[in-house]
This record gives sequence, structure tokens and C-alpha cells, in this order.
Amino acid sequence: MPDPLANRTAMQAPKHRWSAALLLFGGVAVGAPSLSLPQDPHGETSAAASETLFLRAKRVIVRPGKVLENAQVLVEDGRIRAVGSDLTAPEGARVIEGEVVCAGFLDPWSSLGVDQAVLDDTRTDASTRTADGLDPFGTEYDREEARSAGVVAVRVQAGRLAPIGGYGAWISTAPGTDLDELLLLEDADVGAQAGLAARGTPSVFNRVASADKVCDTIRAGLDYDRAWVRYREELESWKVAIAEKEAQLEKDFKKAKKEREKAVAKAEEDGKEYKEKSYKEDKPPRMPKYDADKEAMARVANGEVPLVVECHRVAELRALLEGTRPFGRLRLIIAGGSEALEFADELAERRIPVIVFPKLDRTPLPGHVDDVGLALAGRLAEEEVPVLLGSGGTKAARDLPLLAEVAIGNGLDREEAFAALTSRAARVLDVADQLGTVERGRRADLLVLTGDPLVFNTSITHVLIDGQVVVAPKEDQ
Amino acid sequence: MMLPLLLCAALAAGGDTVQDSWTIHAERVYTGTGEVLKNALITVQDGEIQSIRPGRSATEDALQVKAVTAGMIDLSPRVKMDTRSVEQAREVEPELSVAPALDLFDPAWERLAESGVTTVLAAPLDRNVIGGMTVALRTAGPTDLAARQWSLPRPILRGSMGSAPSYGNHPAFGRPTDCFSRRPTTRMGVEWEWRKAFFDAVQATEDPSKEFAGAEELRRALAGEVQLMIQAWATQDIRTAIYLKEEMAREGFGNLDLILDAAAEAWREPEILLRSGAAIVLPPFSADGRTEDNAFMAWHRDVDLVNQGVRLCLSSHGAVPAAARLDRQAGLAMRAGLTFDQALAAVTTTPAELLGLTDEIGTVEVGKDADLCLWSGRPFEATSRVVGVLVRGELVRDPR
Amino acid sequence: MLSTLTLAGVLALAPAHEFALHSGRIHLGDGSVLEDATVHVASGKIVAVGTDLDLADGIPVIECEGELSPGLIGLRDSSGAGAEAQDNTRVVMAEAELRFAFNPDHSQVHRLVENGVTSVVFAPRSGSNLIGGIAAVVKPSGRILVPRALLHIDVSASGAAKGRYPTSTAGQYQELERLFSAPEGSIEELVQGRMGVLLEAETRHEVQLALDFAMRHHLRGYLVHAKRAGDLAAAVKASGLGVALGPFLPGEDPRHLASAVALAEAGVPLGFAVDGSRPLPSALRWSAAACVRAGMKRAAALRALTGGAAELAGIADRVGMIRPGLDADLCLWSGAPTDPSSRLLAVYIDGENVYQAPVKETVEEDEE
Repeated sequence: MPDPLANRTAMQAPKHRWSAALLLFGGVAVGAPSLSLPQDPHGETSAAASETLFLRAKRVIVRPGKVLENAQVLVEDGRIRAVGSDLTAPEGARVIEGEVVCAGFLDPWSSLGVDQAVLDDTRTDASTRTADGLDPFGTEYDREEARSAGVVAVRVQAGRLAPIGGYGAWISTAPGTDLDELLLLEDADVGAQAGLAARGTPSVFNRVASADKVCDTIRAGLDYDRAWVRYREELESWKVAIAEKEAQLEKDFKKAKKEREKAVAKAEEDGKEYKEKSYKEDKPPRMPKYDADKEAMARVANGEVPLVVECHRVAELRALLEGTRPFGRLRLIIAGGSEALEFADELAERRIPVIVFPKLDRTPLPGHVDDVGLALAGRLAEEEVPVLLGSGGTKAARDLPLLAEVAIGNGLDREEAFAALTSRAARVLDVADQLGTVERGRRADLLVLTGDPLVFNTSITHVLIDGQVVVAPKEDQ
Repeated sequence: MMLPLLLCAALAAGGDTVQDSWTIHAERVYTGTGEVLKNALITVQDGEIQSIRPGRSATEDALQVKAVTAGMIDLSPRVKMDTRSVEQAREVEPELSVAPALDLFDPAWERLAESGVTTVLAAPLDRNVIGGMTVALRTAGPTDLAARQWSLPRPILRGSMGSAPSYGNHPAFGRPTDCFSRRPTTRMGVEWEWRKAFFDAVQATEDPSKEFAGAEELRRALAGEVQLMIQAWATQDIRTAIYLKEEMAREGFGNLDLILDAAAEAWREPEILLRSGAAIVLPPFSADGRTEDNAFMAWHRDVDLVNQGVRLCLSSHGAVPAAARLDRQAGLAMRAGLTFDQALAAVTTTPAELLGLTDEIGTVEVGKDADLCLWSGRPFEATSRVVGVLVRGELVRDPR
Repeated sequence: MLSTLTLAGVLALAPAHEFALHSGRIHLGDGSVLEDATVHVASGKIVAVGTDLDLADGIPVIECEGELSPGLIGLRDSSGAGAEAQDNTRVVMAEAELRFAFNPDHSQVHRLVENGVTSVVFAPRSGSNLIGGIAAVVKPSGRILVPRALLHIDVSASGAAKGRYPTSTAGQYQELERLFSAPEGSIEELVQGRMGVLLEAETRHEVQLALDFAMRHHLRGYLVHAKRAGDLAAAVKASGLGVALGPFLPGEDPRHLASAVALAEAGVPLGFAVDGSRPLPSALRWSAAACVRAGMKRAAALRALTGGAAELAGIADRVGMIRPGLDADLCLWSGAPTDPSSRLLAVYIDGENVYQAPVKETVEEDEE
């Protein structure tokens, strides 16, 4: 009997997620003497990835708030092998010097990698995979621009205007067109929206209804999940019951056989057809109907994948926040949140992150709270709401660091902005095992800078993606 | 007025080192004069063809190709001619030129040049009865019209017959709503506008108070100093154009020198065409023969026109697909019965003659401008391609 | 925990008639910087600026923690004018004056101040007008600096009307030449050099034609909307016209930014526009930052935001620099003015403190 839920483990840990085995290997390799002979854990050898890099910097920002002075980072096979302040360059390693080394920037809200049709698709559903809509060919230039600005990975989401957009994906801005290599996580989140419309301004009722719909869909996912849990329990007890009955019948075999023969003879005598005795245990429990969309929403309801809801205004934000309260394991993320300040307390208390797009346009809709524009990120952070910064579902990933600086200029703490672009984005959207910090075992997606990140004077000299130098000064290429 | 711009363009061009001399070795040179040279070396210097001589031993940096013809000329390419290319507020505007509408930055020019077309006649869109003066220009060169424009001995005024000019107009019953509340709304109205325009222009010579903008251009057309290109797809429109010419002659107004553009149904009545002496420009061949204005283009009949002496040019008429490109059109014309020389003439020498530029372009001869088309095989064959193009000695498509 | 935002400022209490501002760095507006200097302001004008000013006793000196710059100038704006910024009734609106649509009390005008903008060219928005009207130079404080400053001429696609003359490029220039052959009113002022031109041209081809036209009639002023004018930088430079850049938005086509850099390198006078299709005052500094990222020199970007823009708008003798005799329009920033992460701390228009950044104040909740 096929159990669709059996696939979940496979979906949960796609091949791109960092495996424990690799982490372990990483730990061993640092201690191993033969550093110059790196081995690929998969047994595959890739010429490009085999270069050993040794980064030396005045400051290595391991993660926000933790800085190592005069430190080094050893990169092998695309991974960070070691971080410390007493490392020496292994023989043959390419040494890169810089003022500061930090993790590459992440854009948690971008459209880089998909075309407009994928973004504008209003017929997507929870099981739609953005990964299927990625076009690595048409977007090479956009990715080049993004990585030159230090943005190493973006989360893209199909069906921005659909009620439920489906699985969003993290993709790398690395060069190349091999989707398998670019795709970092194919189920980063499930996307949804409340209150948006392809054209015109929907009425407040429609906006609230769309928020309710998101909540109903989560509920349906939860119910679906429960139906499966119930089914599995019933299946277990059915198996037990039927085994018991069989055992009992086995025991009373002779008696039962005699009884049956008697009954058959009786039926013949009466000229009737003999009916086999049925047992109530014969009937197996009913398997729920498999539904890929509900299945995806079940994962959302269980907190396995986060739910990113683009939602801007008070009415739908209120409906969404109220409607999602019963789902204790749900990991809700608000994208946009133009008027989210109204609910800062609840967002802070429930630790609901808001992905802010620092937009230059700031025209409040008639009859609505004056949205605070560029100051939104700073004000939310002040209220202790976890803030992320994104390029707003556009191809502006290149401008994300500059947008972050604008957010800083409008009140966001620089440290907060840096966290938003690195470790927090990675943690909230499930790529912390790969990206976001300069720690052993992470993917070597790193920046070498002339000064502290997100400072206007600072420029990026080198960008590493997957341990390869993808941006370097001309004389250093 | 263009001088400072020209200067800047020249200064900018001076900075780059553009190779301006080329040697081309071709297995065949179809000169366009009826001669085919085998194994010829063509040298190009300062935008002109310096020499053509037999020779096999080309230097290493020579461009090696199978065949060379003159660059092709399209008299009706309609490169990105949008509604801003024609002033639609009035029907008759001989005084306006299409020049301001020519966006030389548009990549369509580059694509056109790379397809082997080196000179075109740009005309305003066919939304007016008389749309204005055309501009003949090269498809490649500096992004400055003055540097690319041909000065024609007899400029070409352009207008339309048929349904296109009346398209969008509506009768102004009651209050007019916009500038389209006007005549003409039918073919008959279009014809009326034509006759009225010429009549008024002639009238104004007698009564100067009736002079109007564009009258001078119309009188020059009557005097034969300006050629008149009329778009006419269907038989009735071709007739109307020719009757107009004949009426003007009958009235003693003058003699219009006609080029009929998009003359899809010219094959139907060759006799009146011959009588008028009009040249024709054909639109691209369509698969089912149907073209605009419900005209039917019987391609196998066009050969008769050429054989009877009608000057015939081929055009892409703004169609973008590769099949509509001029080299493919020449190939299709050959399939329809034209000889190679006739097909070559229809895209090179005949249009050059209509433009009055036979001393400069249209053939491969020493002293002519180096507008050349380099081919991977025999020109116009389905298996041959344009692999290289020179425009005034500049290599705009490299065969290497 | 409860935190509130309160307005606080030394000068918000009582605008001083005469005062001095002392700052570690003063950007004068032409690209030069004075370290550890003082600006002396009296009656709304800058009296003096220097490193060792001899100030009379009793003049209050305000210590500024940050960097001072001239107020920013937007080369095209229609904040608050909404649909009033463009009149479609006629193609040529040569005598329509935009100052009559200026409402200093509109919230969009306050936004200008919040973004450090102290003067704007209040200009017609592009619609289907060949000539949109006469732009004024105004201050968000309500003062109209120059009522008839620049004439808006639109030779882009939007200026070609639908359903009325002129619908074509040829018609646009035919009509312009007709108007310029017997100039009267604002057009006469234009050809006599008493008024500048705000020439709207978008594509490179349109720019080419517009430059030709401007040179033919010896016009001064600047191009707007010309996003790729940098490809024609030499020709723009030769024409003597300037260019109002932007407003650029996040994700802007890199060719537009490269164009801006090319113009700066060619020495074309530059400024920034606030208004593309809607007023975006915050785009002013963003556009400058994006240009700097793309390779423009910081000093050039700051000049384009201040003194350079003032020259293009024809008001360099009034505003745009920190120089004795000019209006005391000043911005105080937490860092360099071109640094997008600098905060705007205070804005002065005509010596009056019109904006003071909200100051964070943490108030402990009473525990009762």
C-alpha cells in the first residue's frame, strides 16, 4: 500500500541540504594532515571546486555580533573548513587578503531567476514548485549583477498574485546554468498573499476574505494531516485486530470448520446459496485521498516549512494574525507589511518576521494609515519585531545592499541590517545550515571587503560562491 | 543644424580604430552588370571598391567567401515605422518628411544591415492619403541621419490608395470628437483627396492666396522633379493611381512619375501598367497568395511583367520573419520564374535606378560604393546565407 | 517596554533671527568641503562661512553633530499637484503657470522637506502636451522663488497627442518651428534667454532631435527623462544643455546608471529629478547613491544634488551652495550627505528650522 506521506522525509531533506555526514567530514578534514589533497565527500572530483582558498582579514565577521580580529578562513571543496585566528595557509592555497570577511548577502524576497509569467501566474497552488519555473539561461546577467553587489543567494517565489503561490526556492547567484547546482533549497517556504490583486484595489471585504482563505487553507492542511494520522493509527489497530481475529480463528479452527460444513449442507438442503460469514475485522480503514496541495499545507501547518504571506494593510493583517493564532506550530512570515507597525506588539510576541522592502514610493492609500516608507524596517526593529530586508519580489537583488543602507539611514540599526541580510534570512528561511554565517561546514559563500559591510565607502573586492571566486578585482583574476 | 552633431560623431568615430580597407576573395562575383567573375579579389578602401581583379592567392586576412553581390536595396522596408512616423492630424502632408521619425538607435537597423540590405527607402506609415517625403538612407553607419542619408536627384513623395488611409477616420456627424472626424472614410474619398490635392496645388499658382503647405512638393511631382510612390495593393487601387496620373496629364497639369508600392495585384492588368510606365515594388510573397486589402498575389505571373519591361523591385514591407527577408524574397521570385539576373536586378540595380543612385550603388564595379553582400553559396538559393555585409566599406557582418 | 517618538530640537522652540551653526564638516555644494567650520546665518541668509569666523557676542552657536550641506534641489517635481500638474485640454499650454498648482500644505510637499529637499523646479508632468507649461522654482516652505523659470517642452512619445495635431515626430517639430518662427509670450522669453527649457526626450533618437532643436534656437536648460543620454554624452556636452537624471529606482536598468556616469565624466551639468510619473522625493538621494555605486564621483553626485542643480534651474545666485549672500537652506546629516545610510537630522529653509529628525526616547513603563 503506497503511503504518500512516506515521501515527506525525502522532501524534507533534499540533496542540497547539508548533511550531517558532510559536516562530520569537514571536521575531520581540518585535523587531517593531507590538506593539499582535498577529497570530495561524494567521490566526485570537480576541477573548479578543488581550489583551496585561504582568506586573511583584519576582521572576520563570523556572525552578527561575533567578530574575530586578524583571522583567517580556510575554504576547501566549496566549504568553509576552518575559521580561526591562528591558521596558516596550506601549501598551494590561493591566498586572498582583505580588510573584512563576512557571509554573502541573502535576498529573501526576489524574482531573480524566474520570468514575469511565473511571477504573475494566478493559478498556482500550494504544491506548485517555483523551482520548476526557474530559468537559469535568461537570468545569467541579473545573477552576475547581484553577485557583484555581494548577493549570493535569493529566495524566489512564483505566483505572487495567486492566493497560494506554492513552494518558493532559494537559488544561488553563481555563474553557470546548471539548475542542480544553482538550486539551494527547493522548498524554502510556501508563499501566499492577502489583499493583492492583479489590477485595481480590492475592497476591504475581499482583502479580509483573502486573508481568511489563507487561514482556511492552513486549516485544510492540518485536517488533511490529522486524517492521515488517524488513518495510520486505525491501520495499526486494524492490523492488530485482524491478527487477533486470525489467531482466534486459528485456535477454533476445527470447530469453525465443522460449523461451516454444517451451514453449507443446510444451504444446499434449502436450495439456497451459501454465504461466507463475514467478520467486522475484514474491513480495512479507509485511506484518505492523496492531495498534493493539502499535503504542502500540512507541512506548513506543522511548521516544517515556513509560510510567507505578502500582506500590506491593516484589515488583512489583522485577519491573518487572528486567523493564524490557533496554529501553534505554524511559522508565519509577513512579506511587505506596509502597515505592520499597527501590530508590532503581536508580531514581536509571536516572533513573526517581516520581510521589508524599503520602497521609495510612499503614497498612502485613501483612508489608510500613512505607511512609514523607508523608516518601516527601523521602526519594526525598534519594536523588537524580527526584520528581514528583501528587494520586494523584483529583479533588484543587485540593489539590496544599497536598500539596506537606505534603511539604516532611516533608522535601522546597522547590525540589525547586517543580520537581516545574512544570518537571520538564512535561519528564518531554512538555509542556516548552508549560508548566512562564516562557520565551519557552511558553504563558502563569502565576501571580502575593504571595510565593514553596509558602509557606503566600503567596496567588495572578492565574492566567493561555493568556494569559487566569482568576483575579483581585474588584476587578481 | 546637424553640423555639431556630425562633428561629435566624427570625433567619436576617430577614437575607434575601425578597419577601413578590406580584401575579399570570392569564387563568384555577380557584378549586376550581367557579368559573373570567377575567383576574383575585390579590394575596398575608403568606402569604395578600389579594384576587382582575378586572383586566387588572397592574403591571410582576406575575407574568403563563395559569392559576392552588391548590397541589396529595399524600397519598402518600413523599419519600425510606428504611428509617430506619420502626422495623422491631416490627410495631405507633402511638406512633412519622415526624417524625424527615423530612430537610428533601433536595433532593427542592425538586423536589416546584417541581412544584406544596405540601402532602404524609409516612408511614413500608410495612414494618410499623402504622408510626406521619404528618405533614402544606408542601413549602417553612424547614428546620425545626415551621415547616412542619400541625397536623391529626384526625391520621392509617398502616399496611399486603398483602405489604409481612411482607416480610423469617421464621419463628423454632429460634433467632431478628434482629428479623425473627417474625410476620407472610403476608397472613393481617398481618391477624391488625391485629385483635390493636385488640383488645389495647381490652382494656387493662379491664385497665390490659395497657396498651402505642401503645394510646392505636389507641383514638383507634377513637373516630374519629384517621384510619386503610391501604395496600392488591389487592382482597383492600382487603376486609381494610374487614372490619377492620366487625368493629371489630360488636364495638362503635368506628368506624374509613379512607383507603385505593395502592388500585389499588378499582375492582373499588365497593359495599363505598361501604358503608365509605372515601376512596381512587390510586398513579400505570402503562402496562400492573400495580402492586405484582400489582394491576391499570383507570384508566377509577375515574371510576365518583368519580361514585358515593367521595372520590378522586391521588398519585405515591414515583415519581420526570416522568410520575408529580401534575400529569401529574391529566392521565391526565382522559384516563381524570374531568372537569377532578373531576381538580382529586383533587389539591386532596379531599386538603385529608381532612386537615381546607379553611379553609387547597385552593382559591383570599381569606383562604386563598397556596399557588398557576401554569401555562403549561390545567392538566393535556399541553402545559401548572407554571411557578410559591408556598408560603405565598413564590415557590419563578419563572414569569418 | 514602551518607546515613544518625540520631536525635539533646539530651534524648534523659537526660530532665532541670527545664529551660527558649527559642524565638523561643511559641504559647500560645489564639491569642496570645509573641516571644523561655522556658518553664520542672519535674516534667512548666509552671512559668512569659514573655519575661524569672527562672530559678535550674543549670536548663538549651535553645535551640530554631523555634516552640513546645502539643501537638496529637485529638478523636476509636482508634489501635491496631482492631476493639476498637467492640462490636456490643449496641446500647447505655453502660458500655463505651474505655480498656481503649488499647494505648500500638501503632505507630499512635507515629504520633500523630510528628504532634505529645499527647492524644486515645480514642473508640468508629461501628458499629451507638446508644451506643458511654465515651471516655477519653489520652496516647500511655500515661497515661490522664480515664478516663470523654465518652459516644459515635451518631444518624447508622450508629447505626441492621440487624435489631434501633432500625432507624429515630424508634426511635433513642425508645430514647434511654427511657434518659434514668431515667438511670443513664454516662447519669446525662451528664445531671448530669459527663461530656460525643460526639454523632455526619452529615447536616444528623441534626445538627438531635441539637442538639434535646442541648438538651433540657442536654448539653455536641461533634458528630462533622457535615460540614455549618456550614449550621446559628447553631443549633449556640445549643446550646452544639462540633464536631470532619474529618478532611478531599485532594479534600475544598469544602462541608465552607466549613462549618468558617462554624462558626469563628459562634464555635462547634472541634477536629479524628483518626479518621473509620480513624486518620489526619497528617490533623489537614492538616485545619487546608485550613481555613485555605478562609478560617479561622490563630489559630482553631491554637486548635482545641490549647486549644479541650482545652476541648471537658473537659481545659482539664490540657493544651492553654502556661500555668503545665498539663502540659508541647509541640511544636517549624521554622515556624508551622499551616503544613503546617513540620517537626515535637520533641515533649514531661509534660516528656519523646518525639520528635525524624530529623536528616540525610551520611557520606562511605570510599574504600579
